[in-house]
Amino acid sequence: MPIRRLILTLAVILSLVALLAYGFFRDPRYIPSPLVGKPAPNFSLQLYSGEKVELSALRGKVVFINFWASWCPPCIAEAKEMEAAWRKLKDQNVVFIGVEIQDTEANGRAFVKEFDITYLMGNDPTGKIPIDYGVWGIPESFFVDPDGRIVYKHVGAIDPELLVAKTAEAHQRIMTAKEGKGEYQSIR
Amino acid sequence: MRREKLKAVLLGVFLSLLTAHLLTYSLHATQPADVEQQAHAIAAELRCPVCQNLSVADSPSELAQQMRASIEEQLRQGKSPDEVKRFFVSKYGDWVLLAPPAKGFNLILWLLPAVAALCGVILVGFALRRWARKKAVQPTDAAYPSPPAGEDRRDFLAAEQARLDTEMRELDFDFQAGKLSDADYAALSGELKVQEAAVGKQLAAVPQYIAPRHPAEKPKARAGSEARAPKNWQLATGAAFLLLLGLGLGVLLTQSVRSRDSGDTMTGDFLTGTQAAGPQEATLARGRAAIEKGDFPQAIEAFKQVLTADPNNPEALAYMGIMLSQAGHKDGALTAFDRSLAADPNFPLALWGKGMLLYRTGGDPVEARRLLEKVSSMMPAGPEKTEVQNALTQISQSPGAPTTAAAKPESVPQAGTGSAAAEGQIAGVIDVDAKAKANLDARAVLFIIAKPSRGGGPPLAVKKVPSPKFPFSYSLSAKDVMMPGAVFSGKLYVTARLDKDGDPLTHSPEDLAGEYSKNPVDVGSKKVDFVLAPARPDAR
Amino acid sequence: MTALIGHSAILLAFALSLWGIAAPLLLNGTGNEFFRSSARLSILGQLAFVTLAASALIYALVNTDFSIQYVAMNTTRATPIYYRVTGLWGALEGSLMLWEWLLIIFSGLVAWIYKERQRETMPWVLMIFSIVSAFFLGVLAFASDPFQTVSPVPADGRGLNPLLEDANMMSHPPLLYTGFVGLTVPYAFAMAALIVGKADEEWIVTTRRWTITAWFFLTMGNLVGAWWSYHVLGWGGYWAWDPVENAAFMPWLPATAFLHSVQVQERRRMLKVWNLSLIMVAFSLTIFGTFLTRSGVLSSIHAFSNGPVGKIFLVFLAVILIASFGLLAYRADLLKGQPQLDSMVSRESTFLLNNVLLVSALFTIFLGTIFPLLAEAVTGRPVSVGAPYFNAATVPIFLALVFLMAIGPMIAWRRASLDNIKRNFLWPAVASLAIAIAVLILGVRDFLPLLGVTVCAFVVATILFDTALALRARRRLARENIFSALVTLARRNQRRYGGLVVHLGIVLIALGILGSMSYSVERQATLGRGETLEVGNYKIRLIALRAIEEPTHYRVEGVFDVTRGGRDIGELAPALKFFPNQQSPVGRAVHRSTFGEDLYLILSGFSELQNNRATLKVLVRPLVVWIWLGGGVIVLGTLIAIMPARKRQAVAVSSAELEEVA
Repeated sequence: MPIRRLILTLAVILSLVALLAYGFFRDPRYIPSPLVGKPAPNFSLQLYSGEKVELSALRGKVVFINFWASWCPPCIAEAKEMEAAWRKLKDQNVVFIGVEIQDTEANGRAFVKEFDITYLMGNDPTGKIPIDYGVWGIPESFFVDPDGRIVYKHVGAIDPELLVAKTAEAHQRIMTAKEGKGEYQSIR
Repeated sequence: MRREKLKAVLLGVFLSLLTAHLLTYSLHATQPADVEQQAHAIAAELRCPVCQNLSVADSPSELAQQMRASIEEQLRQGKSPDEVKRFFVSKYGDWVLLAPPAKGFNLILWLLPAVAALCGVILVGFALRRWARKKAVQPTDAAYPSPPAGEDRRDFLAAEQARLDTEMRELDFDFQAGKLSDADYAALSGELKVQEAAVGKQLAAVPQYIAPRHPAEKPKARAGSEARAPKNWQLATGAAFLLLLGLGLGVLLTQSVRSRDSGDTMTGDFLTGTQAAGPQEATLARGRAAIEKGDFPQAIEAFKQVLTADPNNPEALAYMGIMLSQAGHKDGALTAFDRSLAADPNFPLALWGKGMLLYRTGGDPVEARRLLEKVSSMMPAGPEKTEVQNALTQISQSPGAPTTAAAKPESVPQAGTGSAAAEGQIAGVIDVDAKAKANLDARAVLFIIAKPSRGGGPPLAVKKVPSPKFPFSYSLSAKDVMMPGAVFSGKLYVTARLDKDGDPLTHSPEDLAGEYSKNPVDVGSKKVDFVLAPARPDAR
Repeated sequence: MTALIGHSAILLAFALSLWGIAAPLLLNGTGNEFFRSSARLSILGQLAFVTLAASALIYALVNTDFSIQYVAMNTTRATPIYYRVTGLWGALEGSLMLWEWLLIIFSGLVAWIYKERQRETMPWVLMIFSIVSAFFLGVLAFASDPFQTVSPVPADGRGLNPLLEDANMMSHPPLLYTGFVGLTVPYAFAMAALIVGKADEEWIVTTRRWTITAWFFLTMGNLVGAWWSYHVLGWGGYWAWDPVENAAFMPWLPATAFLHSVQVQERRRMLKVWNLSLIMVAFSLTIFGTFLTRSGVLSSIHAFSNGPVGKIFLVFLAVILIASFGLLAYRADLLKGQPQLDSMVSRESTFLLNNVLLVSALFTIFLGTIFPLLAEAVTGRPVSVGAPYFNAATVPIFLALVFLMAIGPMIAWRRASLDNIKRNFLWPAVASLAIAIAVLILGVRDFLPLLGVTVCAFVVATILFDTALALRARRRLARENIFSALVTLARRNQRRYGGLVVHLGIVLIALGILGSMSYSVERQATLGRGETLEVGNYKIRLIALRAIEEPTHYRVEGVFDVTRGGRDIGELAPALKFFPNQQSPVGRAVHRSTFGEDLYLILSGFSELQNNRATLKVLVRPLVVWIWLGGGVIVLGTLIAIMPARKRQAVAVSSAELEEVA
């Protein structure tokens, strides 16, 4: 009985099967970002209010950047709570910026009105900002610390408690390498 | 001497293949000059982040288009192709490269195949040499042929003889065709003849035997192979082992995968047999629980999962509708409720949801009243029933509403979210003329179409309503736009068509059509009401 | 009612398949002949029930019986009847049903044809069929039931994926599945031979035609798949190295290797373990492919939705692999031959080299396909492996293989002398060099296409040269005219000449791939009405945009007037199709083929607001048409190879046949 041959065969096959089984434990669409820990790419955004915001001008503050579109269900789901979080945090040297991507300004304005959003909101018609931030699934959120460094990234709808906690960490310049994940929708 | 030469030739062939290999690698480094071509070449090496598996060059997605534009812009700014690629790697990581950079762990990908191929060739080379040596040591193999013992011996020898025969014939023909020199032919055919003789001699020594003709003699025929055939206990052990292994693996896989966090959608019910008793029950329960807790993302995820498997699940649709209406998306909510009611016209949750939504937003008091009355009759007494009945009283009290079909939506009390949602849409009531109403088909499908121009041209928005009930109150909004990104605005021509049997292939003369008399209308208009009448056969 | 019939038929067939597994074991234990015939009857019974179930599903699809969930998901009332039938393989459950149906048809054929022959191995062969069939039936009955009912019955169905609404979808999956399933036949015979311990060449001889047939369907399935991709997916390519495409292609490689290496075993009684391994790998890869397609483990454009089926297939794959290779390892002592060769330079060694290259190609593609998994498991960071890698890594191997197609069939068996090589290859080499120089002068300056053309020319030249020599000899010997000499030659040695024709087909495909890979031109532009885009010799002018209302969708066409070198070649109208239940439009590309090059137009966008402006993507892809023509040549070659032989041509006679004669 060629036991050794049998064991060898078994080992090779089982390791292959284990590798394939590993595939069930991952999301094949997920793309981890290399941006966490790096300086946040600068951008200037035309806001619905008519003003312009420049990221580099916000040094010294914690900036929460949220990419969204009006056609994305998880974005709709998180909108109310995000506004609530903003109202709670707005006196704490924090700026919230919502960047509407792959959508029309009219839709964006309707959305802002619908959810009574008071933080900075604007449409990016060029599609350059999402590429700069490596956006692929929305809502996608970035936390920028007062030194202008990305300290945390969250793909998908974000829990308001986590939002508050991560903002506090961003004030202390604490970085979290592991990305957060919630319900998301691929962009188009 | 001659053999050495052949070896050299073979070596030459290998070397040239190797150079070919290396040269084709280096070919990918050469770049075309033209910026557009260059951009295309770069795009072909980048993976579209939002597609299933396409390069940026091949993907039709919006993001890929923007990435292509970005590539061209960067090239025009004078960046080198490598710099452009590095830019995208800095944003999306190495993931974005369709050919992973040959460094670190990825070296395995680049080197292993080449190493394996080379090892394969070398191994085969060695094996060939060993086998050829063996032959060289014993030119006419003394052990040839080496048939098995027993009754297969004769079969074996006969087959061998037939084979040698064929080979001889082929060799003869090749020689005739001029593919072999006299010397080669003589050597090869000589060898074949020696072998044929050896086989013939052995064959003559095998005693003739009579093959078993009847199944009854089977045990005897089996005798020869009995030693080799597996015992049943061996087979049983093997099978039991495989079965256990398979079951173990299956249980292991499902259990571990199930315990994953619920952010993923790949939790499957592995042979649990829940299929028979409502396949989606577990997921539905999860969604209901999430709604109770107010955890909408979780609930949306659960119901979406149900709807992927069963797109017409009335309960999931109704819940979706309720969540959408709470989020202020009236149109989405109405669509969901209508789909739910199409699947089950008496589904209480959808009746209630749609009725209350229509009541609150004042979309169509007649329909609201009908729905709420229906659901009220199905409900047990309780605070919820009281709420419904209050709503019903409100509707009947509002002026002009009670029974006439020409209800005035404006006159109904407006709820807070309604006014915002009503903007950017066209709404109204479509009815069918009295004559046609008598022979409406239950399968009929209503298409409501808004076009930016009369006649031809693509429609801007289309709504498809299976089995509509007339008078049908509708609304068209940005949600119904066909081209993603197109703006639902401006002056639009609103028409509708009722396809009799729901099968647009058959353009029956009984199809109904109609359009708003004061076309075009502004987006935001309400009361865009009109009546459908039999379409003229030429009115397509 | 239909659902009940279908589901019961599946359950009954499942029960029969279990009996089909048990019966050969009982026969082995008791020797009672009753079990022999019942193993056969179990297969035929399964055939009847599965046919019933499949017919029930087709009936439900055609009559849009929406009480069955599968029907509701894959048809609508508006779906034309043609696509209702193809709905059978439009989604997971139906495609498994089709697979099982084909499998049991093949099994039934085997059970029927070998009714009297192969007494010793046949019960085991049927047992292997029953095992595979039991697996599929089990999945159909308990995990992925196509007859699952839905209540309340929806008013209308959801409809087929619009991409599948194409004439080629009629043929692509069934062809591919037939190829996959066909490989079960040699696999079952190989396993049976191992079980009874008959380590000779009998199983190879018996399954020779089956293997060629399976190989043929595999080839056609892949080619039609490529054609579908080119024709329908509308991105201008025919092969994207997508995991699912790789999964369909991978079994082809060991199957091709097997077809060649069995010839060495037939002649030299060596490579026994190798051949058994090849067929086991080929069969396992068909299951692996199903696993990939159904599990969602790797992202792919072609993947079916996820569910428990992926995991079940992985378990089955593991069981198949362990059972096959475990048995092989267990029987290894029996398979020890005394390999001997006359020379290192011979047809035997070229075939071996061909096997090494094919297996290397398989390994490369397999590694590339699962590397994203491997890399993420080890490093934690995902990587992508796509066309640039696969092209760079496999093109050299495939070129070398094409080169071997020139050497292998011509070099002498046993021992090739330098004289033999000179006689066979000198003139073809000269001819191909002349062609290379001609091509060089005509303006092809890049290395890869130049090398490719030379190698392809060399193959064609050797084949023509060899056939010419044989024809001359034939005419001298039998005084026949050229035509009848050709027929006699092909008739006398069908496998050889069929094979040579197939090689010619492969060369055509290689040329097509080479041309379209190296010299494609792509341009994109937004045109207003009357504006012209120039690509190569072509001038493409936008005439109008028009919208058409189709039964299941709206269609927006850009109408373009195309001239080539000043000559009008008519109007082409690429379109975008808008389906009511699809978020984004589906492109409908159009192309104009000539023997030289294809013009391929894709409408990538349009804008009503900006006065009839259309965004157009234009591809000019040389020689693509030769890929499809090559497929036709392969059909011809395969037909020659498997044509029923004349009696006296039986080269190697199986022992069972001898037994009958004796």
